[in-house]
Amino acid sequence: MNNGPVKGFAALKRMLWEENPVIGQILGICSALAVTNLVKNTLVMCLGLIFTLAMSCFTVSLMRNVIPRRVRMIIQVLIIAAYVIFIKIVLDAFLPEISNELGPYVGLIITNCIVMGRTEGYAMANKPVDSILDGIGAGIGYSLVLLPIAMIREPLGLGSFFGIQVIPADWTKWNMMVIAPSGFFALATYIWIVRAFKSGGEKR
Amino acid sequence: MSEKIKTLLFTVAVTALFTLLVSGINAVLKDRIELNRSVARQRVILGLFGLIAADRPVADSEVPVLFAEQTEPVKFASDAAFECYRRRNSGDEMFVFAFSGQGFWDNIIGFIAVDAKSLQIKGIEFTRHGETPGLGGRISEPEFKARFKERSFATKRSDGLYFRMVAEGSANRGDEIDGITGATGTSSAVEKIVNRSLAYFASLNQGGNSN
Repeated sequence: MNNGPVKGFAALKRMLWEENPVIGQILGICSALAVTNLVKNTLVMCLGLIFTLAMSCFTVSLMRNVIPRRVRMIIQVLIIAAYVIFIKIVLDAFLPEISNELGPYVGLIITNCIVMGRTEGYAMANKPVDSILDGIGAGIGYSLVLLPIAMIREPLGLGSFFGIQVIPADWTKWNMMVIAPSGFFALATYIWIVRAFKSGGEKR
Repeated sequence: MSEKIKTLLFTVAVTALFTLLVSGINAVLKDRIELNRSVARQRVILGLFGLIAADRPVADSEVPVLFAEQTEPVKFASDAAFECYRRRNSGDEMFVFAFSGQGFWDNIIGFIAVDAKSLQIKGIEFTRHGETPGLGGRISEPEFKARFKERSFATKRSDGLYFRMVAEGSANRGDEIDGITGATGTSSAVEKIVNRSLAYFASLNQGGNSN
């Protein structure tokens, strides 16, 4: 997947499409399934992940030359956890309702494979600025998958968009779209369509 | 210095640094988080008194004011720690009190509103629980909570309970409440907790209360 170091905005751009963490690497699936039934929660989750990725990648990259190789994973998890707890505290203080609805999922950003994948796979070997861009790119790439899914699930399942009723009340709500199984269907269909597009572009 | 000790010292130093950062943020925002929690609690209590309804929304900043104006804590001589409230300057006998107990997975915590004159449940809210989503978790749905409304706890059944949770859809007496299909553990936990809490409240209230 890696042919030589990718620098600057190229590092950000490739994460959006070519190496999109969800579509290409099938990472971060559990949160993608869990939070995508409401657009608002999804947006907060995506912003949280972008922040965590950018900050963790930056910090790890700054420290990359002094971290002993033996404990590098532990240090990475520690840094990621610190930023995630920071987000959790800020959400509890300023957006308590959203924090409640997201429940354990904010905390679970710590175990989101995308974050550790980027710190270990990129930030440990690249300069801080490139690492931030790479992290932000991965976060936006994740959001580019989650937001469209939420935009389909919320209107079909609850008849609303961003909490505002958009579909007339006589529309029969697809309760299925709100619960977890539809997350599997929606995500799988989305990945299928995008991959069909991608392989079409590559002219195999 | 050996490589091992260097690694150890580095790890300890980094851990201390990030712990300090996180604790710092927590210390700065602690009061605000505490305020949010107490507003959420007060909102539940006001809702049980019927002072906040979906058609009369109240902003977060007004909740503590409304709470202080409209409710007052009730203290019982025999248990000073028991959390109980009633309406200020009101002739009615409505009480809202806290309850908690072991659920199927985690503790179930909430508030019950009762009318001590007619000995009826006026409402129930579960503010925290860890029941299985979609099964036991349905206890926080309005439809389930409505099953408790207007239930009498004036007399006990022959088995010593005020009411029993029965198979969903089979409740046909005043002392039977529909449980939740697929969540027998949660249903019997709720049965136990609510019966016990009501009995405890009744025994406290008999002993008289003061402010």
